[in-house]
This record gives sequence, C-alpha cells and structure tokens, in this order.
Amino acid sequence: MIRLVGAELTRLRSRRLSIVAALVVLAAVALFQLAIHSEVAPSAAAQARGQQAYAQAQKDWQDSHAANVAECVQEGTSQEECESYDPAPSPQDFSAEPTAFADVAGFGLTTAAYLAMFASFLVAASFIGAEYSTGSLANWLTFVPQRLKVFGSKAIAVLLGSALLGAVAVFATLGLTAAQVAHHGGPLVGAGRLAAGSGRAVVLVAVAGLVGYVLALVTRHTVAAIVVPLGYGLVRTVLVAFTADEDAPLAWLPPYLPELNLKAFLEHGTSYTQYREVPGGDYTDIEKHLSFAHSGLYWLTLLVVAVVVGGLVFRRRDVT
Amino acid sequence: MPTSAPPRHARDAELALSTTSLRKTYRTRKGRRVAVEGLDLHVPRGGVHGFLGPNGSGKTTTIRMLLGLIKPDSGTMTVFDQPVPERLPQVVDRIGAIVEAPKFFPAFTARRNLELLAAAIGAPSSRVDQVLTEVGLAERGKDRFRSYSLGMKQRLAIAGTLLKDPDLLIFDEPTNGLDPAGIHEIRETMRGLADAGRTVLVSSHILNEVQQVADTVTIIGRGRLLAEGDVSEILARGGTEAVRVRVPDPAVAAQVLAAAGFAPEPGPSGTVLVRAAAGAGRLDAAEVTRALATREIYLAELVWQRPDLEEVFLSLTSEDHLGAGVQHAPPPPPLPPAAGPHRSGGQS
Repeated sequence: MIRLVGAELTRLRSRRLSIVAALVVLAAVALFQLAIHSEVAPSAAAQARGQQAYAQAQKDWQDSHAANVAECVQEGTSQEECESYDPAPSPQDFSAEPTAFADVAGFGLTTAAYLAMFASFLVAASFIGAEYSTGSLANWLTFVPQRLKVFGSKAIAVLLGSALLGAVAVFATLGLTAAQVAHHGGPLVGAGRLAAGSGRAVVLVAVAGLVGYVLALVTRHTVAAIVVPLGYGLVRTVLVAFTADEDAPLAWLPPYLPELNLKAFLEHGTSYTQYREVPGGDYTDIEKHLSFAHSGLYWLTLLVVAVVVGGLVFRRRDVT
Repeated sequence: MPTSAPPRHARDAELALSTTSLRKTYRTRKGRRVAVEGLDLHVPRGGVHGFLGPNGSGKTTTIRMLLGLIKPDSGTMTVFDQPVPERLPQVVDRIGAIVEAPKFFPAFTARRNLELLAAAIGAPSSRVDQVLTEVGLAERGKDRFRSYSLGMKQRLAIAGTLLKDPDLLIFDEPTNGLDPAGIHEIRETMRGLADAGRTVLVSSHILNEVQQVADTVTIIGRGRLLAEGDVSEILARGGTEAVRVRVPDPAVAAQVLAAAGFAPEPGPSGTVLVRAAAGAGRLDAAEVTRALATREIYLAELVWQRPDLEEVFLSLTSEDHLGAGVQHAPPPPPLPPAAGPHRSGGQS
C-alpha cells in the first residue's frame, strides 16, 4: 500500500495541473501581501493626513458639540445620553497605525483556505478524471487488480497532496503577514487562534480534494465533477426562497448546507439568520448559531460517505 | 505436433488460461447486448495462441474479464490454474497485458510512465532502463508519450508488460494502425517472447499476421466459440490443398490428370486447378508435373493453392461479419472443436 501511495504521490506532483495550481495559490498569497501592505505599513503621507483629519474633526466637534447636546436635551433625552450620541473624536480613529496581525491575517486565512480548497478540488478531480479519459486506469489495474487498494492509495495521495497544498497556502499567508506586521512594528496578537484556524483550514482543503476525487471517480470525468458544485450553486439560489423564512418548508435545511458548515468549521462556529413573522405583518431577523461540533460531525460524515460510496462504486464498476 | 486431443484433465494442467461457459451482456437502449455467450477458451502454456474473431465478436470483452477489468455475468475463468478474478492478485505478476490501444499518460515521458508502473509493482527503476532498451526506446525515453508514433506507443506498451517479466502476455489487436515494418516488428517480438518460453495470447482480426506467428488459435463469433486447435488442424478444415497449373491446352491437361488419378477442374484464366482425388491422400506436386510431362505437356506455371486462415475464418464467421449484436434469435450451433490445444512452443 505504501508503495502504491508513493507511486500515486509521484504522479500527483508530476502533473502540470498540480504545479500550476500550487503556483496560482502562491501567486494569490503574494498578491494578498501586496494588498495588505498599505494597512500594515502606513506611509508618512498617510500618517500626516490622519493627523490633519483628527485636528479638523476635533475643531468641528468643539464648535458644534454644545449646540448638538442642547438640541438633543430639548427633545426630551437625558443629558448623559445626548453626550454619548456625540463623543469627542478619538486620535485612534484617525491614526494610520499598523493594523493588528489578527485583523489582517484572519481575512487572509479565510481567503487562502477557500482558494486552496478550490484548487485541491480541481487537481483531485483531474487526477482521476485524466485516468479515465486516457484509459490508463485500465492499464494500471492490469498491474494492481485489487480495486480497493487502488482506490485507497489514490484517496490517500489526494488527501496528503491536498493537505500539503492547504498547509502551504495558509501558513505562507500567516507567515508572510506576520513578517510584514512585525517588520512595521504592529502587534502580533491572536496568533494562537489563527494557528488553530489554520489547522482547520488544512483539514477542509484535504476534504475538498477528497470530494473532488470521489466526484470525478463516480462521474468518470473531470468536467462532470466540476459541474456538480456549480450545479449546487444554482440550486442554492433557488433554495434561498425555501429556507429564508422560519416557517418555510425547508427551514430546517440551513444547518445541513455545505457552505454554512464550511464557515462554521473554519471560524469555529458561525451564525445565520432566518425571518420570523411578528404580529402586525412585520418580519424580524432571528439569528441562529451553527456550532463547530455540528460542522465537524458534518464534514466527518461527508468524508466517510464519500469514501464508502467511492470505494463501492470503484469496486463494482467495469473499467474499459 | 500431436494430432489428437489429450484427455481433458491433462489439457487443463497445461493451460495458461481457460474459460468455461463465460457470459457477458451489456445493457443498451435496445435491450441487452450479448458480448460473450458461453465461451470455452483453452490457451495452452507456451507458444503463441491466436484469438480470432470479427470486430465486436467479444475478444476484447473476454480479455477484459480475464484481467478483472469487467465482471462476467456467469462462467468461470482460470489463469495458471488460479480462479480469476478471485485470485487474480496472486497471478497478476505473471501476466502482462495490452488491452486495445496503449494507454499511458500523454503528458508524461515514456520513462516516467514506466517508472510509475514499476513503482506500483515494486520493480527497481533499473528495470525501466532494461525494458526500454529491450524494445529499442532507450534513446527516446525522455520524450513525452504524446509525441510517440503509433509503433513506438505499441513498443512502449510491450515494455510496460515486460516490467513484470511475465509468463503470460496478452496482446489485444497489437498491430492496429501499424505500418508493415511495425507489424513485422511486433510479430517478431511475439515470436521471440514465445520462443523464450512465455505464453503469448494475441487477439486479432488480421489473419495473415496471426497465421505467420501462432501455434494454436481460437476463433469466436458473436461471443461464441467457433473453432479451436492447432493452426494446421484449423487450416485443414478450410478445404483441400490444390495446385494451379498453366499449360498450353488446359482441356487436354485436365484429361491427362484425371486419367492419372487426380481431380482436375478448370481454373481462372486458362489454368487447371488440380486436387488429390478423394481418398488418395495428400497432393504431390511432383506427381502432377510427372503425369503431364510423360504426355509431353510442359508447365508454364505451377502455384500451390493452400487454404489459409482467412478462408477458414471467413467461412466460420460469415454470419458474424457484423460482430456481436442484439440477439433476437438463437445463434447457429458452434462447430465441434478440432483436436484440443497442445503445447507446441517452449515451456513456461
């Protein structure tokens, strides 16, 4: 089995699409670093503009504050509450200080994770799709006829390859962002929370690869595998109408939708809203929570189902 | 070569592969299409065995079933006395197979393609160099598979099969699309492999190529066995040998030959076709020339007219020229097999 996994990994890393996907992900990481540069390293001109804006805001506040509060009190509001409506400008609001690491890197981590998931899905689908389209799978099976062994070795190779791609994407993003922030004197806060998020992102990238692999194996075509999530995207736009209202027929569905579970797993829990009709014909937003544990179980179940279905299909199917 | 079939149990012990009552159907829009129908196949160990049939007669389907790529509906199969596909993993290292066209990753080099296969079976990478050299591709090993000519692809596929140093090689239509030099090369390769003690099963619908290289053959049509046995025995079913002679006066020559105990008949373009009379044994061309010469009739031309595999094949498969199809009526009963397959080549 180790021998087979080794052979599959060799093929995976030799494929042009794998190399292109890795380069695209790294290029995106580099672009992200360029994009956040102005946030982590504000220029002297930006700092001067910030100070100027603060001085102007301070002057405006001093000129109008007393009148604003008096007008507010006249309307029956308490003095204290009116003071709170018009606070003095804070220098922090106008300063061009480097942004905190956690604020910048959190967005980068999410972006890198989604990009790596897309790339690993594509690479994995193409990995098995190419074997069907070239017919080389039949040739391979004349060397290794044990179907489950072949299926397992390919699945493990896909999981390992995808996890590696995910790890490179998220850790390059976090590492480079941290280096930028540190270089410009920004605070490296929230690193522990981000490290945990990175681990979860790597798991999701690996799962995305496995799902791509199984879909291409079942449909026997790379394009067909790609069409499945695209098709889901279309269906999802229709589903919104049946899930948005608490009384809608499919109101129970959101906790089982992949995109919400993706978010919940990546962000260690998330929330979504549904409408509830209140007396008088109005609607109010009801926020509902989707836990990390739920999403973890969701992805674990999906992983098991994908492996079992893929293995059974591959074991039974004629290969021509 | 032996002329009579040995007992069945003795035959089985010497078989490289066999099938019994093998059946495979495919679902189509028009119903179930029978690809292989109760096929009994016996391939002796050693030598080259031709597996013949029209396009669509079930050759490739049978080979795929033997290799575990597709599952039979019913029937049994053995390879080196092991039931397959159940025990295929135990014998797969002894089998090298090319099913239809060579199938490799087009963007990879020939060497990389073979390295992957070698890694899968645990063969050392030095074996890749050996087999590339064996098939004459050592110089082109770094070229991408997609840049190869059809002949080179076929040679690379053979190199792939040799990675395992197999006892049984299965070539499915190995000369499809090859030029005469390529066909000759593949034929020589197959003969060489058989002479080295391996068993070669070659499926083809190009009869001349098989006749030149095969020791034994199986002919199938519509997925059924039509004939099997030594090539010479199969050929004997295609009709008697004859010589075509060109003489100044064919009518007189025919009278002379009839009087001498031959069975002459008018041939094409003023020639006489001479066969041995019924029950007279084999035709002797020297006797034909002597009989004519004694009456001062001298030959301008004498050509042997031997039945070839193509004639036998066409007569056996005349109703199967369209290959397997949706069966609505029962097919004609198969001809009784000739003498059973025998070991006619080297040992494996």
